[in-house]
Amino acid sequence: MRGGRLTLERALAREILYQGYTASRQSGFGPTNPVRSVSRANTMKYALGSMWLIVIVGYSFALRFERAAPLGMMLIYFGWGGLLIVSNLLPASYAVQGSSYMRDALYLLPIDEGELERMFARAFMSLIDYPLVALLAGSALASAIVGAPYPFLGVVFGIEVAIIAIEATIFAFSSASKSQAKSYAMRALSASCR
Amino acid sequence: MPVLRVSNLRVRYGNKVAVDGISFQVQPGEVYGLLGPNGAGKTSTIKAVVNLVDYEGEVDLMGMGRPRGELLNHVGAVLETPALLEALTVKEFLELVASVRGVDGRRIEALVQAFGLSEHLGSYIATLSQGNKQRVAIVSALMHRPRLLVLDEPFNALDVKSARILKEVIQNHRREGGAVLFSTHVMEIAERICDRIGILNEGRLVMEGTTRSIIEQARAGSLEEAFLRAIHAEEEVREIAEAL
Repeated sequence: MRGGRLTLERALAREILYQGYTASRQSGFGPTNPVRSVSRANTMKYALGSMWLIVIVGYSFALRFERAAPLGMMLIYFGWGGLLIVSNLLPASYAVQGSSYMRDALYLLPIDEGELERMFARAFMSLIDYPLVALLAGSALASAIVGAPYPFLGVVFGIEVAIIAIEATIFAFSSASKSQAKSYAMRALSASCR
Repeated sequence: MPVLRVSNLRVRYGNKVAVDGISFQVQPGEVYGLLGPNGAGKTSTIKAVVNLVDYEGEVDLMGMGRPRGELLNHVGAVLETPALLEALTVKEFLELVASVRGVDGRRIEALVQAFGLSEHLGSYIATLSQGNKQRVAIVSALMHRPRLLVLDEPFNALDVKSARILKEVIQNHRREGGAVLFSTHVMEIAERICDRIGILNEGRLVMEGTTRSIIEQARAGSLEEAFLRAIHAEEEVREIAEAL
């Protein structure tokens, strides 16, 4: 998040992380240094992604010795894939549910709605860029080690279900008056899926 | 041609009708004030004008249609709760808005100084007081010299000096042919700076005209009296005052 010129897209990603961090705090008060909390959230993203990568690939070596049933294998990787994405996107969903500032601030700018939507999608994607790479690369490697496509397929399904679950969370907990924010987030996440 | 034309505007939140078929126009060089008690529909009207809520009816900006996308370059808006990106510093936010709107730095510098924000440029917006957030929103709404200024209770959190500067800015904007739509529940402000006033009650426009014509229509001695008559609160106020 630090360094380089601040574009609207980067600002939006920072805002989503910050609002999510604030909304998920027990006190509800925002931290005094938003950049520090955003930086912590990013560190967590990279740490968790790397940890998952090690677990996914490491487990595939175990599977070579004790081969599990295809369905069992898929379920394990499905769970890991889904969990990592949900843990990264859940604060973002709080941000969309909890704050209309972001939507209002963006809607007042002379930017085409389609472009705003794409910007939102890219900002959301930046929250799960490294976890996605770690999951897909790790599961592809795991599939190669095991000699079967199940780890990769399990992770892909897990990612899709996690994104749908986050969409459902936003849909269920957003109020009617925030319909635009809700549809933004939904379409942005759907675009992320594609 | 009016800068803003609102026809048969209706805003609903679920089953609740917040704005019930109101129509009005704001002409170039005119300050139009929306007055009303709490919950009358002022904020919903303002939000509909800047396309922040779903609505029925028509909102037309300078004959070009609904203010959205590129058309918002002709509009500067300050909402009751300032719409800002809180994880940015004041400087980052203003530079970002300026780059989107294509505004040069000197204009921002002048506005930042005028509204006393120089010492807060490095502060995160999340950590600012309500008044300072309001000032940041005002600067971002004025920086591109919009044709239409839309201000929702803009004087609420401002100190005396900033309020005075904003009043001057509104007068200058009017003199330069710009239009202003603003909401308030402070009669003195409406009386002093509005060319025309629309009184809203329960989502309906119950009275409209110049301050003088509204006082005459209501057969009242002041705008405050006319306002209370228009919203049928005169008797209630008298009874409460007597009971106390």
